[in-house]
Amino acid sequence: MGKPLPSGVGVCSMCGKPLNAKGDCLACLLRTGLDHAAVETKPTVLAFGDFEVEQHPDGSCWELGHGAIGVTYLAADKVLRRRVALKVIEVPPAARGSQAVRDRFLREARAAAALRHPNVAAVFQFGTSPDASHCYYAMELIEGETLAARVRMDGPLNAKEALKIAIQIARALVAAAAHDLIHRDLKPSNIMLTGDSEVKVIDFGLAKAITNAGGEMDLTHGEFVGTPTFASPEQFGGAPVDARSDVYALGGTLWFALTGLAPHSGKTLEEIRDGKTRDRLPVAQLIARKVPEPLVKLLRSTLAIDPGKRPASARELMEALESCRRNLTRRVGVRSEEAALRSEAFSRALTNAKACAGDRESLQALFESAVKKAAAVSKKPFKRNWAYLQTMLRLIRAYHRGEYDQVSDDALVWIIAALNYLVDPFDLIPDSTPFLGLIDDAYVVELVTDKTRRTLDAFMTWETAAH
Amino acid sequence: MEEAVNLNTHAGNGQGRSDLFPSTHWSVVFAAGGSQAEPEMAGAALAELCQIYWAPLYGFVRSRGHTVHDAQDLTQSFFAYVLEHKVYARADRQKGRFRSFLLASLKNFLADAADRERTLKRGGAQIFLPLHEEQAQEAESLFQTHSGMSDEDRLFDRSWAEALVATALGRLLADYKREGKEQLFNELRMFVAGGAGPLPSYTELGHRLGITESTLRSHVTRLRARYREALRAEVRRTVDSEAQVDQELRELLHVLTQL
Repeated sequence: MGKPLPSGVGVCSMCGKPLNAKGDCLACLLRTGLDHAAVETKPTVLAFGDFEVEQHPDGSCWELGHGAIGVTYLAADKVLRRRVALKVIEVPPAARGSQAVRDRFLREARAAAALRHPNVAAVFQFGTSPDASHCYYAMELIEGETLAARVRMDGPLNAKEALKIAIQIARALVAAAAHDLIHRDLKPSNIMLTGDSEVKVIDFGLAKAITNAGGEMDLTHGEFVGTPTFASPEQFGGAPVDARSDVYALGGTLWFALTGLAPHSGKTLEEIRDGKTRDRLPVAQLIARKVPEPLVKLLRSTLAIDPGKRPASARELMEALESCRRNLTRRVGVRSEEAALRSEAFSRALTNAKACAGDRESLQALFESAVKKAAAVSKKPFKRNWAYLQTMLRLIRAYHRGEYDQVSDDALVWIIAALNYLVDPFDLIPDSTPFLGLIDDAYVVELVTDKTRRTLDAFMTWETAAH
Repeated sequence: MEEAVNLNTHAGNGQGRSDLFPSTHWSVVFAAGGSQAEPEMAGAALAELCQIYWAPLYGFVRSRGHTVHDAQDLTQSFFAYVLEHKVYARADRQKGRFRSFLLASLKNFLADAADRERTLKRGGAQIFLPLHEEQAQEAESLFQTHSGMSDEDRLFDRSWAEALVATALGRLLADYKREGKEQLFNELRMFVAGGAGPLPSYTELGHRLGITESTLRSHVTRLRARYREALRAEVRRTVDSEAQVDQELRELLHVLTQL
């Protein structure tokens, strides 16, 4: 036996053997090679009732989102063979034995599941795990992003788009009112937007069910239910909560969509509560974003501390929002005939492209006609859209050559429509006709930007990597 | 909660990845040694293995009292000699392991003064294996760390173990890098390689990495499984059969626990 091994950088906290010069434990590293428990097995599948959580290729659970109250997974409905969004909430150990807790959760979840509306993500099924450690509910899977993510990614929305979203949320609230349901946790991250900015409100009526199950909301404080930043002042005081709380939360959500900020924020529950009950609304944020005055006025009333000063119901709020939108549309219509012409041109191009969707030959013909037109015009009139035009052409060519197949058929239709739009109105409106990034052509920006820019960005990334 | 465990491996796991590892198995060298069928392949296989295990051999030569430069020359010459004279052709397949074969061959080489002189001269002019300065420095540093060990065979085995795990970890890191998960590898490395500090709790680390505890557990399980496969694949290259993989690992572990 030789002398004791010179000490390296210490001993291993796991096995007590000396570490090597790199600070690694050689013994642990060798032992793992003999550890049969480390043999890779198919990762444990998380299953709740009929639902199995899907996994990434590396075996990790496919999370769609997570917060303090639980995790939302992409899951497969084993019976109906469809994909769902599965929200799983861990029940605190103290509440697991209570039949009353379980019953309350199921009652509230059942009420939420009864709500069916185009602007509400349907709840398909709910339940609790056999050991009562988790409760879960399966929702309609929405392909899209949350309003919070959209604003984070693209910045605050213009008034027209924000109103379009707010009106759809209000419609969902009106439908819920018919079922005596209150959301209680309306916020930008609970608003899903599909590619066409269609709204689906998620977690409707489930905040109460979760609390009944013993779950905790984002910041637990006694009986607090909701997310403090967007919750109504009365939710902090434990006062009875009615539909006007959701009206308030919708106001906060609309404010966020317009400014990228919450009307009141703070680091603690108390700071947020004090801000909501004492501070004036920071209306300057709206003015800086050039939010039209009628909308500012509506937001003031929607976010009133006193519920009695808010729109009395979701329907009243919806009508007020629609009135704001009509005013805005009239203003835009008077101000810009060109925008209307461009919108019309794009609608026409999209109708043409959609008519060809599913028929590869027709789509190809449409593409080729656009290519010819694009080739015949000079770069000058297109100005900053030229680069986009060229990228579209490269993308579609690569797609047809089978080199780039990561574009969905839907996105392809929009790209071809955008391509035709770029070419078509050239005769109609022979001026600079930028549509990407131009603010005054809200309709076209709204429709085209989201559909095409991301696809084009992804394509450019692929192209750069490939070449 | 229902849990379903499937013992079958699945695509993308260590088994599926094993084709990424070069197929320079010791058995290839043996086979070529016996039949002379594919000498180039055997030579290349041996050269790569020698490159990986340069440090243990260098350390052994140093432990025999040779200076840094002499030890470097001798180690290089030894490899050149092995490759040129196809020493592996005389290896006894039944004795199996590359580690034992190499150590025995080195001892013979060093003992044969005339042969050494001759090959030293030849090796000086004709270096078969490139020697990088960094590699030489690391080998010297490793030797210095363990130079207090009186048993030169054990010193050799310990250095061998170092080279073995370093190669396995290096290959695994390269895989994670390819997958764009280098940061994840570095964060979770301690779950495989240990360390002086206590392991963080899954809750704490998951929070820091912005992932749930269950996802973190799954990452750690997978890392351990992948490392295990990488290590065994590396050992597999130096032994003649799957059964010897366990035996080789146990022996190396035994050496460490005896130290």
